[in-house]
Amino acid sequence: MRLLIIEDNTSLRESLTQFLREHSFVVDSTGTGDEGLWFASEQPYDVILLDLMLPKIDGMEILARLRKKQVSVFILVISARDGLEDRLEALNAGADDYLTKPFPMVEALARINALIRRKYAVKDPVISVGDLSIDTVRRTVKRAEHQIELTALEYRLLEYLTYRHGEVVTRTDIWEHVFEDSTGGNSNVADVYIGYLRKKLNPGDLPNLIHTRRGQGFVLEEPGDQIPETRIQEYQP
Amino acid sequence: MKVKISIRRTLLIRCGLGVGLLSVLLSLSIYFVVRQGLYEELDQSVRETASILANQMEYEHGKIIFEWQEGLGTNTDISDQALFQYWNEKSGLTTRSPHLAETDLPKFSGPDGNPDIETVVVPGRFENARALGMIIYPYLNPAEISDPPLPGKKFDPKNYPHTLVVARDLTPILRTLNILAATLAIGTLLTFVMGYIVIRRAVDSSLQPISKLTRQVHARSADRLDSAIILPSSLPAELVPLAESFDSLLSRLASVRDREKDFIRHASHELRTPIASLSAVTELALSRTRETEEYVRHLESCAETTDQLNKLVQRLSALARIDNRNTPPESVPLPLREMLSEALSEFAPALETAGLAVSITPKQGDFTALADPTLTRLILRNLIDNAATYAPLGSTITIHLSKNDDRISISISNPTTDLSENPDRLFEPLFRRDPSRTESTHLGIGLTLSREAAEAMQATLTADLPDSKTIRFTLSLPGT
Repeated sequence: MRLLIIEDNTSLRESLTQFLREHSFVVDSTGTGDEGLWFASEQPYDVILLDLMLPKIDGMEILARLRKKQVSVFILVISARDGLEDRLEALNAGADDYLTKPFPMVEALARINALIRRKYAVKDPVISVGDLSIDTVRRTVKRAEHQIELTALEYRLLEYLTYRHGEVVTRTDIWEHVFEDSTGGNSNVADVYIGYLRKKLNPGDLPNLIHTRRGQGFVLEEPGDQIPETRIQEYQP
Repeated sequence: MKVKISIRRTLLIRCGLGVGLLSVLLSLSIYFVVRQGLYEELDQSVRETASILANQMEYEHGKIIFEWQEGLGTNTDISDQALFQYWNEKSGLTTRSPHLAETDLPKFSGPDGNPDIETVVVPGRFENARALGMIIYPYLNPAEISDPPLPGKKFDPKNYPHTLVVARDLTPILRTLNILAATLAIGTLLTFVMGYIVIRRAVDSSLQPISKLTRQVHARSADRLDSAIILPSSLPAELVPLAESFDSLLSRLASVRDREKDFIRHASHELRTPIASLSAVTELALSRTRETEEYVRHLESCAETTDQLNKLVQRLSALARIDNRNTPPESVPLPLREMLSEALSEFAPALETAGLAVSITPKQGDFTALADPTLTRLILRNLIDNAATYAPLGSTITIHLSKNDDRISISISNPTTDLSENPDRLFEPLFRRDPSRTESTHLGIGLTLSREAAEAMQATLTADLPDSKTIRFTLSLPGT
């Protein structure tokens, strides 16, 4: 999951960035409003953490401009303004949630997770696909009775595929939401990591859950639910 | 315990005493006027009787006769109502009115025998009487002068002086006066009681607006201090200024409270971000076991934030002292040029480090404004600090002094790369610009409080963009 932090206080921004990275997020961050607006317009983020008091372009302006451009990213406002009017103003301008400073970072984390669940229409933080279950809060993965150990990047990739289980996820999507440096890059890297995941997720003779759709991407689904490849191809323009 | 002065009680006591005193005085005057009248009436009748009796002593046929004795029947009025007695000073004989029998009246007369009236006691007859005493001389019939009864012996009335004392009873008058005194005493008492009741009602109804006003003031809850008192239409003219002053006092109080609230809000806003940063860094550091270098890095970040917090608290407390001054802003003549140089010299090291030049125009001229020295100094210092922070290295800060329409203006402009679309937003609390080079120690509160300081002394502080690369702050103060 890719997050954007727009916050002008350096140490708060850096701490949040590091904390969220340590919790398996891909995080971009900036200290000014104009740069923040540019990032938000150019990249498909899952959640943006937006401060309101910013140099150059303030947070309310960014909110308004993003919503006007129909950017449907989830926005969590983090602000020192604690008045009801301030919260109402931000929420009514299109913010999805509001967090008053100072806040425990675990709360920010919980709210980000909640927004991501809303984005992918998931209610239960433990997502199950067949005998695979992913606890998005504890960041643990279980296949049948096997506890699966994953690296941060592998987990991120699996979590992203799980949130979007049942639908085809393109390599570009994976690239943008899972990899630290999403610019340019080599899409083969996604195939490599999918390969690692498949190996780790299929201990013993368990059937494969991640399927390749040639020319399109990957889909995570139960073995019985597979959409015939040809049918998908039929829908190609 | 000291008893509180009560308007009601004071009015009641004073009005009651006034009415009481007035009615006592009135009663006394009535009593004495009536007494005087009755005494005069009685004295007059005594005088009249005396005058009749004096005329009724005649010298006839060589002897002195009293005419009233002759016509005692026709003179019954006199002899019934008055007691009188003659003393012949020559022979020592005395003649009494019939009712006197053997009793003697007190014998007296005025100086040189003139009439004199006194209150006397006639033993066995009148306990109190008004008596007139005088020397009289027998009346000489004109016929007797031309034809004297004793030839060769001329009669001279002067040789037959008599003292006449006439007394009339005073008792009925004294009785009447006693009845009058009792009536007046009861009247006075009744007047006093009635007066008290009427005064009390009048005082109560006059004081009712005060009670109404008090209830209204009571009804204002502490959180609605700034709402005006609804003046009752019946509020007496004397109370209107009091209520209005109270209202204005309350609104001043409310504005002070609002300022305090604002200040606390600003301060808490200001403190939130560094605290959030401290809490984030420590939470991050503690969230897992880390390498020593990483801990050091986090601790350094904490130290930096603590330093920022410290500066912020110092600044806030300095501003709080200015904001909560008990004294209203002064309005004294201030030489702006000198104050400006003073403020600039404070920032000389910072200006020098940044290679900033300062140009002041015009070079000459007196610019004296009427303002508060502390607040003006605060504003100038903030504006220069601001310019020194945001002007690019090696640029020039332009200061221009001007005078027009009784206002003295001082504008401080500096080139900047960070131009806000709406310069007025710079005065919003927490609004922070991107400093061109300094670390973020500028906490976005200086301009807010500078504007507050300006407004506190009837000055204005505005910001505008004279061109696309310059920001200009203008402080306009009342001139001398």
